[in-house]
Amino acid sequence: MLNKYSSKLTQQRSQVGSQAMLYGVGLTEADMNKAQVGIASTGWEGNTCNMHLNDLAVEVKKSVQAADLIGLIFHTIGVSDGISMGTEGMNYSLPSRDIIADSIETVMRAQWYDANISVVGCDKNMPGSVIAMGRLNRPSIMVYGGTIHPGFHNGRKLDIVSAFESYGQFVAKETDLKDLKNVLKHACPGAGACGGMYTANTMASAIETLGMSLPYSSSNPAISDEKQRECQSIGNAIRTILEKDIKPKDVMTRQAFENAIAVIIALGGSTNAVMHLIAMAKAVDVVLTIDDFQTISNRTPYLADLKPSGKYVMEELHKVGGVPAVQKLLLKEQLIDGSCLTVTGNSLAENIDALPGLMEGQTVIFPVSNPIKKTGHLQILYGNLAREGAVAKITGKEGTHFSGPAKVFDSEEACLKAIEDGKVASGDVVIIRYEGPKGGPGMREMLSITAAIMGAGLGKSVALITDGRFSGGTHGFVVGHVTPEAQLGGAIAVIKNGDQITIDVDNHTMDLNISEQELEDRLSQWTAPGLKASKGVLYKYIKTVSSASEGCVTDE
Amino acid sequence: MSEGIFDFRFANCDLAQSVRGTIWKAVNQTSLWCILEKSELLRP
Repeated sequence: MLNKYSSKLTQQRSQVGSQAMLYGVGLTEADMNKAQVGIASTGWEGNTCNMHLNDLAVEVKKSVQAADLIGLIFHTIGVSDGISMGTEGMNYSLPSRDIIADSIETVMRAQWYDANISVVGCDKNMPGSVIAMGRLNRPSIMVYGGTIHPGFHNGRKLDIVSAFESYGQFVAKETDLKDLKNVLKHACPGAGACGGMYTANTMASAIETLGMSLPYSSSNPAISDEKQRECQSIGNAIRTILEKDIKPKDVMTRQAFENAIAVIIALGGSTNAVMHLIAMAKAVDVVLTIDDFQTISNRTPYLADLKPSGKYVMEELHKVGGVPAVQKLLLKEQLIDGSCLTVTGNSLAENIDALPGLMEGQTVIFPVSNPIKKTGHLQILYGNLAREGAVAKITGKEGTHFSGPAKVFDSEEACLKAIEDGKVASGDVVIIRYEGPKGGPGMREMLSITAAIMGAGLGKSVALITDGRFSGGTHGFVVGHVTPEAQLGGAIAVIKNGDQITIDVDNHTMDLNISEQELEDRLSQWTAPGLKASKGVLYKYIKTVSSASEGCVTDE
Repeated sequence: MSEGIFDFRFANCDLAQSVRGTIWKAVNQTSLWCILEKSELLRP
């Protein structure tokens, strides 16, 4: 019985209002016996990641109808990180993940849909939709909108991070306004999510490995024949898992999460994956902690020469075999478990076995025997500055140890102004606080800051610590997700300008070099500043959000 | 890809044209999706 949820509305004689309205939207009497698939789209016109998703959702609906199912499109929201970055708009970015999850859950449960297909694009869309799928535990498949093509100007390959970093070069007087504008006009040549191994491509790769999207979903470019054909294949795929009754909790197992983490570490993925994967695991009652990321990072090599710290973009990974080829490599090295079930109805190993490995002679993925770094770039740090943990992104190119005087800012804007004014110098440890889940609120991403630091040529000589987040586009010596956050009285709140800070990645520590007594005295004198929101979405978010180490979930 | 579906979605048509040329070539060279379709994985 494929319509075990929708039958409550379509088969019960007493549900007359339900049936009248379903006839009203065009269903026939025969349709009333078919399973209903809710197709969620985060499509909207104002963002390259999302601008084509409603078109893809229409293709998905056609394939669902062709599989003798009823496809019903509904919409949810998105927030463009690239557009809102550096402004108060970014406060809404992380909350949008939970709004997406809540809204998909709401429509799916209220309308009694039997299965879900979510067509999603920008960073928070993917974890938001998969969190909803986990809560619902009905057959579900995620369709990633796909990666953007690289832009080109004067023979130089560009992406969104090029735009941010060109501003740093402009501030440092290494480029002029005309060149800056040319970079901006050519960085994003149409539809698709930001092209490097930033958060969108990281989460899409993680979710494909988790088993919740079809093979190649994460690397099929947005504007490609293959992405369209993926959408055309979805109807049969969702019918298969409806018939086999394969549900998210069958797919999203503890072992599947470990596989997803291993793949994004091999690919050099975004720090945001840590909190998103923890939140997704909670949706299906799988226990996953930040310490699991360290354990897997210790055994998984960093292999992908992908942006932001490398030179290639996602489309180029696709050309040499895509994520399945990377999975194949890791399976061969016994770094992932092939037994996990996926939404093809087959195991990960069976999927991989049918697909090609990395193209001969390719240079995007390094061999396991000669990795970029022998262990992962995601490092979990503890210390008196982060008693509940922090997440560092260390590719090895920036070293593993940093010690220097603190330069403290109570907001992203204050820090950016200091960089523009030339007040951040080589050797500084830049602290940006009150940007946490509650204090920000919403953990804004510090891409404007890290890009300005990179553009100003300080990338290898300045470290950055924040209770906010980093964009997947960030590179350099950066530590984020510091918990407890400043708003809750974490030690980051009492750092003073000039205090000596030591970050020791080899020993997984991050400390403020003052005595325990002095730290206690400072904390006893500290009082929490007022909240930055007193009503509306952000106020509700402040009141419900958990810490970054707990995935910033809002339903615990 | 059927011509047209994404055309109007490009903010910059000149860029779209240059991108399109690149992509057709890539699709013809790689066709990973064709391999997936020929496998048993997506069979109903």
